[in-house]
Amino acid sequence: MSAEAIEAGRTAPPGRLRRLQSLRAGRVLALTAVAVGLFLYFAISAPHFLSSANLFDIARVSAFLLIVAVPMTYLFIALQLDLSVGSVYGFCAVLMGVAVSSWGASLWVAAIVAVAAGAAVGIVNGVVTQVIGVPAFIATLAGFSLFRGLANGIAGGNPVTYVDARGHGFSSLANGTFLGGVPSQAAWGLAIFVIGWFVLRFTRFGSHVYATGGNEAAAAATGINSRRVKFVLFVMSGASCGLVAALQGGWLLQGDPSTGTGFELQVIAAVIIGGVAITGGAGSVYGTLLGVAIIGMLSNGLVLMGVQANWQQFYVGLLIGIVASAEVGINRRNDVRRMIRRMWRARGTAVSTGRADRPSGQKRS
Amino acid sequence: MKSPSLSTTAYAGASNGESSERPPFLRMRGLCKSFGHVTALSEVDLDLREGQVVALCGDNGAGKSTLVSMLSGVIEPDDGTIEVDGQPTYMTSPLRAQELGIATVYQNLALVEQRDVAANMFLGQEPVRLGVIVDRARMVDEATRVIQRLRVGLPSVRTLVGDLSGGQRQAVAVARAMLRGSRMLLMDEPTAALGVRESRRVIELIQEVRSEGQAVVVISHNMEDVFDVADRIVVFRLGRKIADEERAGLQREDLVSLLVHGCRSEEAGER
Repeated sequence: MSAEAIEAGRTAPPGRLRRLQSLRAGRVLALTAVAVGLFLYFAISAPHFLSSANLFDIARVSAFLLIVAVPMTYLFIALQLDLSVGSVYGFCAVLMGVAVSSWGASLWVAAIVAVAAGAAVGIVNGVVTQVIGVPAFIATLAGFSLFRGLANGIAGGNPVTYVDARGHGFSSLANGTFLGGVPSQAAWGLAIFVIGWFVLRFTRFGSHVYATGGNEAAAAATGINSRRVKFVLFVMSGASCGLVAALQGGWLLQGDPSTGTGFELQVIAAVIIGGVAITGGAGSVYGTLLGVAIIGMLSNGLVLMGVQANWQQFYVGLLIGIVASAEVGINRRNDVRRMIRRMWRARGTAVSTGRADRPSGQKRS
Repeated sequence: MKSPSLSTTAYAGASNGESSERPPFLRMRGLCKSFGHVTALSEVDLDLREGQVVALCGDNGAGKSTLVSMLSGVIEPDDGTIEVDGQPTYMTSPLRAQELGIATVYQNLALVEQRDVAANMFLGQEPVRLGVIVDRARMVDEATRVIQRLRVGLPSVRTLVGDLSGGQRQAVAVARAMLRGSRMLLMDEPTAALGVRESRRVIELIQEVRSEGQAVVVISHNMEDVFDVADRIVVFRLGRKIADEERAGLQREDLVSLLVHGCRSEEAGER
């Protein structure tokens, strides 16, 4: 802070200075360290973890998670969430199958249908939450059930297969490899990550997403149309589900109505591990990339080390618990300290009162 | 806070005088506003001049906030006229008010704690390159310039607002209002949430804004602040303007009496 230093720290007590800022930087650093540490640990102790085939496998599996986790990050920053992503994923997968097998569409057209259907669902979610005003948790919970039911109903409970579909150019785009074996799913994931990172970090829209979640009243007072911002985010979220459905269709050549069951929770887990502020207004796409990578490495490495698949969820849950407790605990550390002291009935009763400068904050709707 | 103001009289003398050569920046005539059966404002005339600080006083429900809301374009009057630079004007939206150079510092400040000072100052009006990319360098430059002009003690415009003290936040809100090219600054209870030293700083800030030649309207319940900073004191009671005086011509007891009883202590028939 040399060039823009303005009468440095004249009124701010030095201890407080940039507390939030350093806290935030520390969190990103810690998360990077965890991801790197996990990678090194598995590289040393899990057989075949470092083989290129295995790494590409992790990338392929993680890519779908990342593609949907990027818009979910935006939603969380804006204090919204979308519980319907897993079901919409399944619905779009089935719809793609129907488009090929019943309407005789080529894979290309069917893929566009899937993405458009996802975006349309996003528009519905956007209208219900931002125009009608239903809280996002409830609206997308309805969608969670509704679109899974729709997928099951349309497909009759069985996968729609279309192995002899036309337009295999798309299939290679969805499932090919390039540059010596890098799976194309990874390239899609990387592209979405780069676009998502750039838009959030450098564009006006990204600033408005942060402002919407940070203080919606302030955003409104300065002329930001927060409802429109959130509406666009729901459309992005829906379209991303359509995209993963299309990529999966081009890969497996079938649309299973159970596709994406539990996917929404994996996505939210990745976003939370990635360090998005639960209270909104802060977080990054880079953090989400780390969250996705950590989950991907964890589930892959544990299997390689011979840990039963049954235990995987336990470790993911443990990680979420630790990350969330760390974040909230650090923000409320004075309160926590006081509570612990009170529990142990510390001798000095004159306990310093917690800082009151943090407003209770908005609630995720 | 007991100390009377030090430097306000110099400005007060310069820009007053009833027979002004220039029309006032903003002239209100016969403004009325009702909400249902409740009359919030009736027949209010008021002139606001550049380089002058006007304090709006009055008990709760006197109509001060209604007036400020009208000036910032949040609500429209039922009747009456507003002239800006002698031109009849309809203040139809906050954006329209901003175009006219009127900026408001809200009581809750409307800042985003998780973003830095520069981002907050340009909130909703970020300069862009190539249509979409936020021009951070320009934001930092311009924000720094305004903050320096206000002589606010801030480590950097890259500091998160959540890391600032109450007074610094207030300063950022004022700086934002100034940045938007404003000719008039409306401040709703600017010192309500602040400590003694920070209130002092805000008062100094208001004086700086005045010395830049802007009109300032301050709503305050704090009598010390009012007498410290105002050039003119306007008292409202039950939606009517009951006094409009140079600060020099008003005693503290008079103001208290006006606020409480609606008339001056000795000369009850004044208005």
